[in-house]
Amino acid sequence: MSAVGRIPEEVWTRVLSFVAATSLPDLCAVRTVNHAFYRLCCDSRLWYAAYCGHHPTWSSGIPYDALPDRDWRTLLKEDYALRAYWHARNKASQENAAGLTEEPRRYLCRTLDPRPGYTRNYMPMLSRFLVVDYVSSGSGIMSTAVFSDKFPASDVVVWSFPQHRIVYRELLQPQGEDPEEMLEVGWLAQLMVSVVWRDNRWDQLRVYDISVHSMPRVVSEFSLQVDMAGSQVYVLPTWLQRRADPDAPSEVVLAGIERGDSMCGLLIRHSVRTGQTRQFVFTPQTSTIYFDSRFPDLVLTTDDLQTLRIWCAYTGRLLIMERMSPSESLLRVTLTSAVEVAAAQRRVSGRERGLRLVTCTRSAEDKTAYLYVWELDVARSPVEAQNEAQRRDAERGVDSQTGTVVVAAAQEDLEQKITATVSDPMLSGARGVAASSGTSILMQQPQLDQQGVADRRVSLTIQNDNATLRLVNVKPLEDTCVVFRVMGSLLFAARESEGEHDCALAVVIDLETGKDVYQSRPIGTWGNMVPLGRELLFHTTNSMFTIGFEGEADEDSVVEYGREQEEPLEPPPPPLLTTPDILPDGVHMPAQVTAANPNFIIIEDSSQETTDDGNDDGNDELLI
Amino acid sequence: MVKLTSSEGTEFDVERSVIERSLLIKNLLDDVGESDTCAYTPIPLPNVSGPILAKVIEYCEHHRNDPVVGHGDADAELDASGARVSDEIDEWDMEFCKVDQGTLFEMILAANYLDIRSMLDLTCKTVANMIKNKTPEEIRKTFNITNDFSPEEEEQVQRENAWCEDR
Repeated sequence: MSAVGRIPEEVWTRVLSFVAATSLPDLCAVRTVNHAFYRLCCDSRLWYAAYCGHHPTWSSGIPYDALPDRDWRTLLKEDYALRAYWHARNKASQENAAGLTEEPRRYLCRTLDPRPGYTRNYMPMLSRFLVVDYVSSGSGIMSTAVFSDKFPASDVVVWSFPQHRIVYRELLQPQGEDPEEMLEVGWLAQLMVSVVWRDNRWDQLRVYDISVHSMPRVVSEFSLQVDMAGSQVYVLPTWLQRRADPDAPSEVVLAGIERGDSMCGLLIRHSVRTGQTRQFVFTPQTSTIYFDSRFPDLVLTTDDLQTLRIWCAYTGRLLIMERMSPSESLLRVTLTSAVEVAAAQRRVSGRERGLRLVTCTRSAEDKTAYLYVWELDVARSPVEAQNEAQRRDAERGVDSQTGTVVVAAAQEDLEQKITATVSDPMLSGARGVAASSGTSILMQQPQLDQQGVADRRVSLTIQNDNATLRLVNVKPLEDTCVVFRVMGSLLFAARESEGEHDCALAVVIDLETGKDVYQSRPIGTWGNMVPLGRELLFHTTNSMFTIGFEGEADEDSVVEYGREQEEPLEPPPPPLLTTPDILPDGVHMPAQVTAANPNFIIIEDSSQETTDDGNDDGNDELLI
Repeated sequence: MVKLTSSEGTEFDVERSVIERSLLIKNLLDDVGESDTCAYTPIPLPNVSGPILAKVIEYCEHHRNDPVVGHGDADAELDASGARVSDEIDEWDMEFCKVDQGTLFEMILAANYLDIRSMLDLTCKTVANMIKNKTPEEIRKTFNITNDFSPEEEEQVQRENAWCEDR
């Protein structure tokens, strides 16, 4: 027997885990040595070691079990592919910066100035809301509505991505005298949400069933009992939720801040099926509220005292309170998960969800921007949190089927208990346990040494219901930016263009290093932005476009308004595609759609979707 | 003192606290208890030759004051420690592993058999370092491995690897 052959396989696996953790190309070289090594390299634990080695801080705390099938190689491949893509685009962008060419931009919709000589009776405007909904990890829809001051109807257009084809178009006619604006489209839920304005405020939200083309039908409506500012609107369930729970009910979720003196954070959940509305009232003097439909059980609020609170969005319980260093302004917060797609396939909870909180701050002293990555461990899965809320309702005798339920979150009680326990927690440096069980107070001195940026920060953390928050990485950023979305370990953001007022550029930032992976050229007037697979969608007051589009789209899918139109909007043409054309594999529409059956899209096979990164070498590997 | 016998019958006397870095021997001694018999009854180690046993004892002597790591199941630890693995090797350990490949492999087998986790990691890391920055052909040459892939198979594996090369 050769010397190599005398070493047991488990010992070779150990050797290769050291190779994997430090160099992926070396692991790939080992695969190519012979059949025996190829077989050894199929061990998913090696790819887990490679993933952790590749993202030392990002992967910290994500257990091996976090992927249902433990397919760490696929995850790593997807991550590599995305990084490589943006690196390549950055190179192209930098070459363009020399003034050679314009960043390729593909419009979906734009309004144009009227031609000379035409009156300005018709002043088209795009909806202020950036509407994007996924139906799988790489496909979905984007939508906007165009309306004008003069004409009450708005033209709702829905495009599919990545195809850029119009898949739905409808003229939304207000039912009364008050103007009505489209807010959101849920494609899997086949719902559209609009708001009716009255006295310059949102008065009523209307939910339409859009499953039958040309016949939008109101299936639910509810009045807002508070005047909300800074509102965000979502339609649930998302495709990820459906993977965890095929029976997930349709909901409309609003997050915002109450206007007036109190400025309480507000979260409103409206069940389309039962008509019940639950209104959660959070802390007064809230400055921002954050909800992400990928994580429907969580809602985050911040205040001017640099306090971040994380709440359960089903029960209203305060899970985490983190008082940031007073020397820094908390600019943005966002949630992500390294394994969100995989984790969503089953009802995982705790660390296996791989939840990360990403915060962006700016130092009051030197104006430096910092990026923080926190490991967030929420004990309950979204489904468990939902069940907990129902159990509490039952205990309190709340009828969960009708009416509006106002839930004032119980943070006051908790914070009083904490104050009684630690009189001046910021100064005492104490590590205490509050009187209420399950609540702990931690003074955190982050033990990070990267460039010495972390050691000066001390923060106060309050943890409740077995939720924990732990700082895993701090990096200085090249400049402040507005965080929009984190996909995997890349952060997609917008940054004000240097020296150009009201002009933004898009950046893709590596969470591991805080460095820009990609920087676009200035993209013009500031609006909103979201990554769509390998494109970035921009939404401004007068246009919607993407950069990075590489397909061949029909020019008919570009909708332009304004140049020659002086008349009210014409009824739209019939849809070019039928809805199921952009549904993912395993999702179908039954022939009959009824109001009593709002969950009309059934996911049959949840094993698809997670491995397709456009690189087809993954499924036909050697069978040795 | 504990008496160990190598595969050729050579006897080695070693302090119990030193050789207890081997979980195999520690568990054995714990099972026997504190009776005097263990001091005089040699523990036979038929899988370990004299020169390798000498290296093992040298390792344990040098690391006698280090905290013992790695109780429990090897696979479970590999799973959990993925993020913490390091290829750093200190100077003494590096010198200790400067042996021919046959001896290094014998040391790995001994560390594995005797369940000395830190020595197993050290020797595995040393082999890992012999793999790094090498082409498949160089790896084959280093370890005297025959390439049993057909040209088509090799080409396919190279295609599968394309995603992570040159980054």
